[in-house]
Amino acid sequence: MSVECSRLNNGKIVCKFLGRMDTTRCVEAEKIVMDSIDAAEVIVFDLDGVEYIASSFLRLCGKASHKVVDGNFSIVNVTPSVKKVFKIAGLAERLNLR
Amino acid sequence: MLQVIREQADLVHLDFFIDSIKGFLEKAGASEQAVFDIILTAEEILVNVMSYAYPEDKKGFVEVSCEMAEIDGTKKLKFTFTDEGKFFDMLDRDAPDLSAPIEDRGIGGLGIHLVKTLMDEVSYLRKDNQNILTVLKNI
Repeated sequence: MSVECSRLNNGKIVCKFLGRMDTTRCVEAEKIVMDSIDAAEVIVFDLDGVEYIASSFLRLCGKASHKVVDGNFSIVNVTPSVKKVFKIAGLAERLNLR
Repeated sequence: MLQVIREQADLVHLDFFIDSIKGFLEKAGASEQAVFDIILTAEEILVNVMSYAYPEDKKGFVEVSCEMAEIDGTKKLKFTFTDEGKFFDMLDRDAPDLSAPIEDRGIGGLGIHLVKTLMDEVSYLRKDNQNILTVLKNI
């Protein structure tokens, strides 16, 4: 399993990703994430267990971020290497990387 | 130091390519950051080739040649991706508009932007009905 999404009682959904978020695993994760965040008010992507991402993961983040109003989507626990990829793509600020 | 990896250009073989390239990078003693950048680059290129180079029912091969060489006094890792699919120059596209919503950017454009930024040199050649994409990373 590459992602686990938990719903907190305040409308917040936390999606915890694990391992390599490569193209193949992003396809699997996208279904789980998009089903889980349907009625979310706040979405947090926790990348604590993520060692690697491909561009397909950036697309998944972009897609998920549009489910909530600006500012209510954020990404936490990002390693420096992964952060560099978001920065090159020009997405670090827009996706609220912390 | 040279290693050649060749398999059918099908996404089911993506992990095989990535694991083989990782094995090469370990033997070459590449840094953690270099491994990260090269694996990301290899994946973006291979996914492109595996998804678009050949018709779905007629998948040809893709070959990756991994080399460590000293060029102009600098140690470089050189990776050459070769396929016999339709003409496709990944580099011949406009840089993505980074201010546009990510889903409005051309598919593939973002991956190529990452490849161009992470590698020190990237070049494309169409020769003998082959697409030959070469990337170099200084180490």
